[in-house]
Amino acid sequence: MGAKISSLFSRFSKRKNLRILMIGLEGAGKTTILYQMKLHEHMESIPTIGFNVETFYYKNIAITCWDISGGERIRPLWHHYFENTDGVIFVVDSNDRQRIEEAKEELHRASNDTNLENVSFLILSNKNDLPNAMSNSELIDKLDLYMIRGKNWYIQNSCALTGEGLCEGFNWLSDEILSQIY
Amino acid sequence: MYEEFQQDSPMFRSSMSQTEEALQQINTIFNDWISLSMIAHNRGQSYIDSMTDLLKSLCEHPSINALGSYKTSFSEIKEMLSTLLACHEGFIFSLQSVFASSLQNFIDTKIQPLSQLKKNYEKILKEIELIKSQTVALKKSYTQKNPSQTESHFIKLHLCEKSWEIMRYDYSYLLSSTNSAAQTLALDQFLSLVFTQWSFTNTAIENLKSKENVISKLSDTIQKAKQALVTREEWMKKEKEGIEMHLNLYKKLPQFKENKEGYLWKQADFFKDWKRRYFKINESELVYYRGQQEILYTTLVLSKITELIDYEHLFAFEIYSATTQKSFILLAESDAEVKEWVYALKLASEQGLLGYEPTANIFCADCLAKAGEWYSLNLGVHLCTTCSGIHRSLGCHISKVKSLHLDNINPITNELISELHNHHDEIWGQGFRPPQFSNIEDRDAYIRSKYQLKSYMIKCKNPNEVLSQAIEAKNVVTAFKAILSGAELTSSRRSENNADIKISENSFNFLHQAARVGDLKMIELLILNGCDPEGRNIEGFTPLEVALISQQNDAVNYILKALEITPA
Repeated sequence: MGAKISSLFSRFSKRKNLRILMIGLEGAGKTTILYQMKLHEHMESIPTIGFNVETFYYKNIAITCWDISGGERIRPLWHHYFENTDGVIFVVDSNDRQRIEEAKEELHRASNDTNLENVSFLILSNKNDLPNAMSNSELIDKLDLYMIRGKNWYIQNSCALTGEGLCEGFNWLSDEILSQIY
Repeated sequence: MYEEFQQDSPMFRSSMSQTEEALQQINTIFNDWISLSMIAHNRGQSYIDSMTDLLKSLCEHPSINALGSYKTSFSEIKEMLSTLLACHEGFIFSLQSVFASSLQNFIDTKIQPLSQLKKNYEKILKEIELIKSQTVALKKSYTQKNPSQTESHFIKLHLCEKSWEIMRYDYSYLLSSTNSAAQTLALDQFLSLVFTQWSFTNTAIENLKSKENVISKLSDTIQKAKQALVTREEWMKKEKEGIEMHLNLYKKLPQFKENKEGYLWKQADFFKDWKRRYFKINESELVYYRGQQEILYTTLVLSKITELIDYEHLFAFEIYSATTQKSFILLAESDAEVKEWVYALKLASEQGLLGYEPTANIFCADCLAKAGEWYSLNLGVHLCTTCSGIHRSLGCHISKVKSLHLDNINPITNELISELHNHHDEIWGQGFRPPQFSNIEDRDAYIRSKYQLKSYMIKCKNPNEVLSQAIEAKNVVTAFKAILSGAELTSSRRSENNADIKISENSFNFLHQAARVGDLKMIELLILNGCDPEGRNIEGFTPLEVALISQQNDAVNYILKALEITPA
């Protein structure tokens, strides 16, 4: 009981700073999600070369979100960013059936990295508003999500243009991270 | 009596002349007054004119808004002066017309009878002289001849004298009375006129004196306003010079170089004060010099360089390093310097990351910027970074955007894309291309209408025939145009699935045709646009088998590669 109260107290007393990594194939919508969370509005983004970093407050928690370019030749460099990461968001373009295989490979490569042990994975199936989008069950099947061992994952539909589903995803991720810390 | 009569006649004459002189004097004085009042009138007129001019000039003055209160006082003065002028005019009019007419009346009524009287008087005078001469002659004769008759004559003469005397008295009375009446009348009228004018001028002068303060205040304020204007002009001049200096600071065009070096202001580690140091980019590292010593500032690999637009009005940029997770802020000395540094640092960090050489000779198909480092795989155009962002927002079913540097590109695909890109205007049509630095909304509308709606494109008739002809002629551009116009690429696969011979007879097996011709670019184009590399033609061959039969070894290798990549 006392521990719970103290954890509650510490939870309200100071702001946590979480480091969250956002990866995914290029053009999946990572930068749009980042600025949607930061500014709460749609911003026409340009392709990222390197990375974008923004810190925003979500439910009294400071989240430093790293949005890393998903270019084919940048992907081998993702592991440079994996250290000290509290959570990973993997963004999938649910409309792009041709490259889902590629996305699956990258997701499994990242989830098997030693730096990301015990780190929760949030899989955002973005561009879900488009008519040809894949459903969650189809994505779970195609991405082989049940093959991810030893860590929690969650799949969430989203639309970065309107911000739909982003709050639910961040809710799950922040709750998961905080429950691991305390 | 007679002597008296003789003596009287010059007296009468003199009195007559005196009256005439008095009348003339009155006339001259009257004329003088008219001229004087005319002068006064003219002066008043000129005064009013000058006042109205002043008022006009004040109205034209830029700071009239501040002097609005004085305008009313000026209008009061103007009204007063105009009434004064009206009074003067009335005065002059009265002098000219009323007084003159009354004087004329007086002259007509009183003086003209006088002339008749004068004539009568002269007649009488002649008669008297005649009678005198007669009497002298008669006296001589009658004294000698007939004294009795002389007596009667004397009586006659006496009567004559008497009547003349009476007449003379009448005349003299009449003359004196007319003389004095005319003089008094003229004097009275003059006095009244002078009094009225005196009163008018007095009131006008008093009014003017009361307004003098206002006028002096007004002149003071005008003086002040003028001075303020002069100072303001000077200030504006200085401001303009400052702005021009500032503009020149920004106007200087940046010259982008790869290996930038120069002075920058850096923050010291401990005391956080700014120091000016010579910086240099040294193979993906930013170093600075302290004396001769070269010190590493930060590595540029895995770092993000951003221009800080609003950093305390200084020309600043930020380097955020992912490895150390620290941000460094550096200050340059002008806007162009910042742009040059950001360009050079970005280039260095990207080169450190990827190890590529920049390709600057490809234009963007949508905005003609000289940086077509991105391309759309299925649209066959090179794009700049901004336009590729818009292409990505269209969704991957319309445009598959890839980077020349961030993604791996097949050399044959690269050739295909660059050939299609060189003819992009021919394929997609020009439309109303937005300029290079136009905003994202304009570009978005243009790109949507160009690629999504295909509104600028000229579609060709009979796309299937055109496509087969283009495959024979190894013309990729025409083939792509035909595909966009709606050539049936997927028919071969459909025939296999349905196992329906009818459709397969009509189907166009373009990939088989391309394999037979052995055009690698064409094969790549057809596979990219959805041809099944394993589809069978009427005879039951796959494209690979067709290529083998027609001994196109490159095509065989290429199709084998494509089959490895695409899942079975």
